[in-house]
Amino acid sequence: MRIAAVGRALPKHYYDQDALLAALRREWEGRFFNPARLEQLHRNVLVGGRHLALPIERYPELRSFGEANDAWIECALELGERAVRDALGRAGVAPGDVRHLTFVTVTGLATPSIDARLVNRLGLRSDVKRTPIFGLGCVAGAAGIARVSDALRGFPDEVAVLLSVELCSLTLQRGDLSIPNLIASGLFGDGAAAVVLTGAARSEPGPRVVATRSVFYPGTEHVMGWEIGSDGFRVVLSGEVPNVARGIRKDVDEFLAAEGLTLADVGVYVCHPGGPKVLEAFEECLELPAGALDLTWKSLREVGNLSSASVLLVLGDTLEQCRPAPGTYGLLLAMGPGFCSELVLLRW
Amino acid sequence: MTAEEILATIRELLREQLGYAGPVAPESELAADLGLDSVKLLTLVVELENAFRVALEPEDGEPLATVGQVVALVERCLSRPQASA
Repeated sequence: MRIAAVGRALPKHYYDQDALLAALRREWEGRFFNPARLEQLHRNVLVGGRHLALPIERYPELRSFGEANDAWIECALELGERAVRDALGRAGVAPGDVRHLTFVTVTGLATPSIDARLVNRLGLRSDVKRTPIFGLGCVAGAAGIARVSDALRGFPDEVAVLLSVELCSLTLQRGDLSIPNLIASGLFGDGAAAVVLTGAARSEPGPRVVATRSVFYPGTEHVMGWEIGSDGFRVVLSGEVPNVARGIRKDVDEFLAAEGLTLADVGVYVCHPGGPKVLEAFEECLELPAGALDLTWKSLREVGNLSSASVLLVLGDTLEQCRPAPGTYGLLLAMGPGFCSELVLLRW
Repeated sequence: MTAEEILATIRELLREQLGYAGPVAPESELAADLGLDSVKLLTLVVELENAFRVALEPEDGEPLATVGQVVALVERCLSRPQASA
């Protein structure tokens, strides 16, 4: 299985962190005695700006979960179509060649699912095998590559597309003044990414998916997720996340050892930009050389954390900007609710 | 505002906002005894700011590891001349 191309689609509405902070301060004015806390939290996440699904002035019009989810469906379709078309164009693959379409998200709900609606919009074949996945959260970009690779192992001459659309801004609970929600309001952004994966018998170039591994951490359900209520998705975020992230070293070592490798053999890292503390934990526990996560940090800085789409955006940047030498190993990794991690070994 | 009143508010916030129902004494360690991670500690600080209408800004090197040190921080910040936050 190979990664033939990564396509991207970001909403046209981009706001720097100052503009977003100003809007939230207006929304939450008078609700905190010390409003400097919000600014402090927004600065700490080291995000410079974010794309939003809607123009910023439209968010106060969203009065219910249903209205926010309707906007999500409309925007997810538009961005999803753009991301898939971009990926197919880059890979030189026609829509009619796509045999599997996997869709991941954790920010909105639709039935028929977004992948089904895209079959119509993209003109995909009527026997395309669709797999919509909701709930993996930030880990779904990496997990999606792993699951799609598993599918292609059985169909080596086929083409699959993985699509992630995450519109985190449409989940923001404006009535929730908890610290996790304040952090989320500064960290998460909107966007979509699509990956074209090809079976081993096909000729499209790209890094090979050598191996994948899922790791589940028992007893950590409280670390991250949603509490779902009549207002929609309320974020659950524990301060334990960086500590759990630090434990990934053992999993990475075991994963690489199974392939006869060590960290010294890995030349490229593609990490989900969860946030500064998580990236620092990765750098520290994996003893990464300076600059190893430059593209990951850049993505966090420029667009924020796009949940499952983020690691795919970083993968796209890596394909275009790093151009590793043939034979180079790459480690793609992400963590998400469960708590869990997904590891993908690539080879250029 | 006495230290005992501040401690009572901390107990109430720990119980109602953070779901902690165990014993709380001035010597209780925030992390080891009360299980406060960085997010929970910040939740406690912001709730105290709202409750006492004071900005809680530790000075460089001011320890914040026990309940008693949180009480001392609130007392010190309440005693300084208040600028509008």
